[in-house]
Amino acid sequence: MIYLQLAMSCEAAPLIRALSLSAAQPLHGLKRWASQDVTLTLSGTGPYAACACAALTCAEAESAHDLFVTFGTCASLLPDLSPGTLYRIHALYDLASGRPYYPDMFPDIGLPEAGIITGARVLDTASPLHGLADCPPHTLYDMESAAAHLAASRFLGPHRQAALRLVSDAGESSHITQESIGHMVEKQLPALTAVLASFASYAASLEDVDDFTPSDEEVSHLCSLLRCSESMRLQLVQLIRYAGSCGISFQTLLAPYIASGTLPVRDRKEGKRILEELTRLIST
Amino acid sequence: MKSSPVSSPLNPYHHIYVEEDIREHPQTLRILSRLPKGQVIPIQHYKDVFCRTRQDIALQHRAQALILARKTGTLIYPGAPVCQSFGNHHFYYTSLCMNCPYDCQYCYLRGMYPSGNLVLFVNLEDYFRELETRLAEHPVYLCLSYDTDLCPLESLHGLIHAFHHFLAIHPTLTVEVRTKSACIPLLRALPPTEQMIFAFTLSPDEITVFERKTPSLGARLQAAKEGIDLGHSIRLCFDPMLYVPGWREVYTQFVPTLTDTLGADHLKKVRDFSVGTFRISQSYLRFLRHTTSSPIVQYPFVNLDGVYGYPPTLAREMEDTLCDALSAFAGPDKIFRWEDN
Repeated sequence: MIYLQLAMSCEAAPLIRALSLSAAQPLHGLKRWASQDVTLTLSGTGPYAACACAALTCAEAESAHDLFVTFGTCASLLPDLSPGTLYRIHALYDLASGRPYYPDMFPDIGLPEAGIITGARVLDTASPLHGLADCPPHTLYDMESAAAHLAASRFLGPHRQAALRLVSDAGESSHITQESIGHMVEKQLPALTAVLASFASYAASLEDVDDFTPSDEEVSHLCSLLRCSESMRLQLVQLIRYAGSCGISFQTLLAPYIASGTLPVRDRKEGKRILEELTRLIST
Repeated sequence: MKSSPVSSPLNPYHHIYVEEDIREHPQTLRILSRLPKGQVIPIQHYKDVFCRTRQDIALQHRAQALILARKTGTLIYPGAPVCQSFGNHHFYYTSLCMNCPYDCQYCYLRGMYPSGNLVLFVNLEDYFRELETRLAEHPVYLCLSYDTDLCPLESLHGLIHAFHHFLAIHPTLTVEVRTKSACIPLLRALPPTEQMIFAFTLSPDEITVFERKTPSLGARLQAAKEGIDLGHSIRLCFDPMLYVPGWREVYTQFVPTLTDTLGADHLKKVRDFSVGTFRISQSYLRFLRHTTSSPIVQYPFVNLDGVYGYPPTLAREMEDTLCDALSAFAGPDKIFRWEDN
């Protein structure tokens, strides 16, 4: 599942149509749309809204195949960057705390890249924001991305996060309207949907490390058969993991002991002896 | 989703994170000039990238990003207890690089570092300065590549060449360059000296399947052979020996492969041999086991004073088996066992 987070409905509307998303149950009051592959949540504007929304969203992203992707418009800090260009963000810098965040750049999607600074106020070229000059040499500015991804990093690794931003202006936002933003997003729909499809196939390729850890019920049952102490329990769990990694069924190993009535054991000493015997059997 | 994906596989060092402080360092400029396609991202400190939480080490290893940084604090460390000292009293190691271009499933680095990306420290002059302080007190035996394999990236960083020059003016320094590479061009480029030991880690082919991205056993042996021919000081390391079902047969058949490829004359010229079974500190093993389900790592190791390894009888048996086979062409004074350390 791709958990897509956007700040404004004018940014989201073209994507909702293009991805055929249907209205879904709101997330603690935050509006949502979803399909089988994508869940889009509207955070509202500003770093605090973005942070809260990201935390709520990422707490849901439990599968190793879930990705958190943010998208929105931003301002350019360089006058020569043309409005309407879509960037993948490789560095995010939170102006308030000075904290950076770097998502992994998997997979390669061929978009131009840039760093972004996130502040709590609208950028205005007439009154430059205090502290911006001391920031790393990033080229874009917005009010959500760093906050969202710093919050997301509490839940997800950097390989499960991506940020996309569309340049809307160069800090002269007076002429920017909801309509003009909608048009800009609309123009980028082919690129955006192709990128999201790449993210979807990348997410599907992410692997869960199967460490063959047995269920609590299985461990509890085997511990009662072997009358395990805590250290024996840990030894048993590791032995089951090792057996699993070698393609050996632990249940099959135990079957003769159960059939002969050796298991359950009478006392812990006997349990320890059998555990050591099983260990020798599969690991030497 | 209806659209076609647009992604393509990433090359190694697709992104290069550079600490702003060393952006203009000559070594930084050299490395960047060799990676013209890498996207350079300025950072304040390498830990901002390297120490992020919840990184997927296995995934990052498939296409590593590169981080260029300045190493601060202590640069030359006393040898760790789990390392073979080869009888050297003043035994040190250094960390010029964090992580390795190779991707061995059993590597302790996967349990030691929170990231699969590669950090290269560019301030070699500071390492040399600290080393000279030690050398003023006593001779130094220094392992250059414990937390990495420097050889496969030599064309990028030139560190082995730099140390080779440094050795020429510091005759009481000996360095070991441990590698799983088949570094024939490097061996040809460097004039041989007893002060630089090339230590090839060798494993049977049944084990090299767990050593992703590494050259085959045959390629490593060819490199060792050429190194001997060129007059280099060559060490062969059978460390770590790894338990696999049928290990006795695997390691017994391994030695004839060595003799067939290298020949008796070459084997006699090998400086020494190192033999040791797999061992790892408790904390590293815990993290390592989270990165892979490989049986090599999930083995039920036993804990001996905080170091996990095979049961002592098995470890001894494995090492004895190999040492016996090696004794056909190497005296006991040439075989260093981990247990004797």
